[in-house]
Amino acid sequence: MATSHRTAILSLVLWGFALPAVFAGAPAPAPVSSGPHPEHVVANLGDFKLESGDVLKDFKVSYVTHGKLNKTKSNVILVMQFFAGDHHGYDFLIGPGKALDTDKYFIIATDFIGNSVIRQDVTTGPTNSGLKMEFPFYTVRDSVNVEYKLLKEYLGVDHVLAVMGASIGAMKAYQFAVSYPTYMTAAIAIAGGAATNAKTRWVLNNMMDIIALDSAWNGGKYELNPATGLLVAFGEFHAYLYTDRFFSQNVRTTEQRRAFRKFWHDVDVQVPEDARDIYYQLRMWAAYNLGDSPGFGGDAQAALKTIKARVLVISMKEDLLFSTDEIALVKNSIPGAVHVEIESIYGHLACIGFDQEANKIMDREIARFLARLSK
Amino acid sequence: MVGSCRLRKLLLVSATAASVILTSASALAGAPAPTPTPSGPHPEHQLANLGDFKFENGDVVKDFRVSYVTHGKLNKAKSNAVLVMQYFLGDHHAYDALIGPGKALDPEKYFIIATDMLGCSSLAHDITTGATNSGLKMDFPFFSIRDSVNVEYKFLKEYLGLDHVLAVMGASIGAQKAYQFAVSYPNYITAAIPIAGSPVTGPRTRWFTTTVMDVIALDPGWQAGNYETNPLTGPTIASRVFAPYVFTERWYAQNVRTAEQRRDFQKLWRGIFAQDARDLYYDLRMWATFNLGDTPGFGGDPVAALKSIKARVLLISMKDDQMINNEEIAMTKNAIPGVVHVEIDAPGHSGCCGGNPEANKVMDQEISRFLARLK
Repeated sequence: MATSHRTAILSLVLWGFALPAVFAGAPAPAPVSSGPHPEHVVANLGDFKLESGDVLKDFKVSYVTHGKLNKTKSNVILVMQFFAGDHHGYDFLIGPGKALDTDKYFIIATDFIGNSVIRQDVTTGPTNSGLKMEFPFYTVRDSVNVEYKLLKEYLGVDHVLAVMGASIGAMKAYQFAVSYPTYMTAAIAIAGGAATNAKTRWVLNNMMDIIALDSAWNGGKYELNPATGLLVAFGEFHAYLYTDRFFSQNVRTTEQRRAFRKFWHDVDVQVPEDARDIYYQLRMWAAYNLGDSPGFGGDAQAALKTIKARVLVISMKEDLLFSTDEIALVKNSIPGAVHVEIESIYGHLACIGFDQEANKIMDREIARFLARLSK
Repeated sequence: MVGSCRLRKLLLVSATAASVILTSASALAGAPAPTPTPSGPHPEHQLANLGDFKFENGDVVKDFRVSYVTHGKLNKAKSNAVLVMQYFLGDHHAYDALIGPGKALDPEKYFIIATDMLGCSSLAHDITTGATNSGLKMDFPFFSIRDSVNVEYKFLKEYLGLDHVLAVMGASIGAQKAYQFAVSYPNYITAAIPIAGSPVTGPRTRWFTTTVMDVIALDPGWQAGNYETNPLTGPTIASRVFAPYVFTERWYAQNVRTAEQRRDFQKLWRGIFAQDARDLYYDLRMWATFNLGDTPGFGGDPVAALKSIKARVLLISMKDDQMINNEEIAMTKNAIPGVVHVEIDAPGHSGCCGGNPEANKVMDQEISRFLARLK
């Protein structure tokens, strides 16, 4: 696709540049293309019914694929985007010889329900549907149901090798493994938990309140995207995306502070996010509890215990959005889960490609895990 | 003074909230609101007019007033004065939990002076001069921690005629003021007691306090700070951005888990931030930009400034403080000659502000012991 994507730009800005240098005032790198750029496809799933009972007509899903489907249709890997991301979120792990090896696997990378990219031809959401705040509030389960419908009905895939995602994508990986236990061989969940913890939920609710505080928000019915509230809301978020250590080392001096602020400001200006779609995503994230899947009475641990897929849990040591208690719950409850902890000064952000060292570890561990599946 | 018992109520409420940590998770959700019966000392509220006050930036504010209360009596040798300096969102009641016969700040032994700080954000009118009650609004000079300490000094030295005080004490911003007092007026005090404060506002703390300012300014009623009617929505949401840093993540997991607990916690913060938005904004800016090393002569180096301290220092810190990291505490205790350090296992920063009975007990014991040794 022609226009650049937020995650692609983030990756380009960050890769190859030591961050302190970037924040100390280095010129923004030119947005040259790199990495895989397969064709952007839009699938029309027809009617899509949400858990709430609401039905959305002509529900579209945008996605790209990498590699080829093998004859036995046994090499499909679904990668699911994270908050404020898109189908480019895991490009850093995709390619020949990488963990998501395009010579071995058929990788499907989707834009999730309510994707916040400002364009029409992406997965259906509050803004591009034209429904605005009339769009039904959706859950992580709805989002997983969309992915399933795309794979099963639209692409005609009866089984996938693995589902994978980071952050919200990790929540979706757990949810997929609980909602469709026999549909996949494996799930890879990076930096995500089984229920949004109380503090993170609090922070996400604040972000929604901040977005709605912008005088241009207009009850969510705006025509022109209100950017100020969104920027301030992301300002709150950034304190949790990194570690305290990161701030101490890289956002210390006036110059560094200015560069840090400018970095995120530029990202938000170059690839603006739709405030309404972000608002819906935050609500989905804030309300998430795997235990709310029918039959578990709110008990996330009970839900985790039913997982049949082989699971690789990757966590970031000083993640300020997902606590060590949550990770312990996940790895101790999922039968046979493999756990890898990564230490990174980027904290949560390491899960989406901000730390080259962490990328290396993820690449190696995911490759190893996937290789073992086919044996 | 009639108007400022709001903080007393707040402390009682947060004492209830904090006691949850030690007992069960039910208190926040189910416990009846504590009765706002007066308790502790209620001495007469006094107002001192200091005349012209000159800020570091050269601005002069005329008829500068300081509001305060005193507990106990000044002895003949004038050697028993203890100054206690408020924290953010507080007032002269901030340390009432530690004041009383037999307590650490014993009025039978000490003459305790409790001030409302420069720019105190209480909605009462007859308090220490600030941006709002001066009528200057955003024309009021931006002030620093040093300005705030200079106000306290001028008040003690010129207005009360004290040539020396036994100790200066404060928590959070009050602790920053205690360091600053010890550096700016090294021979004026025998001892300083900083509680849960950093000699340099940490970069992450600076980031979030700045975000809190941005949220206040996002309120359409803010009007670039020149409002007539105090805007409430922005500060209410700002309070929620502030809240996660006051407790620990585990505390949230236990106490802000259910919808009812979330509502109660929101209500608590709405009450705490029911202060003047402009004064809050100024206080946050003072806090965000604090660096002890900016004291003239130290070239920005907080360690050099700390090393110059002549006072005997009792440094109290809270374990898992989300506003002050371990490196800052280590730097402080390693730099101040002969410092005594006590760490309290409280749920984060909240332990410093009088609302946690267990933390109060430890502070009471350690401060009494420290003060007794001074003689």
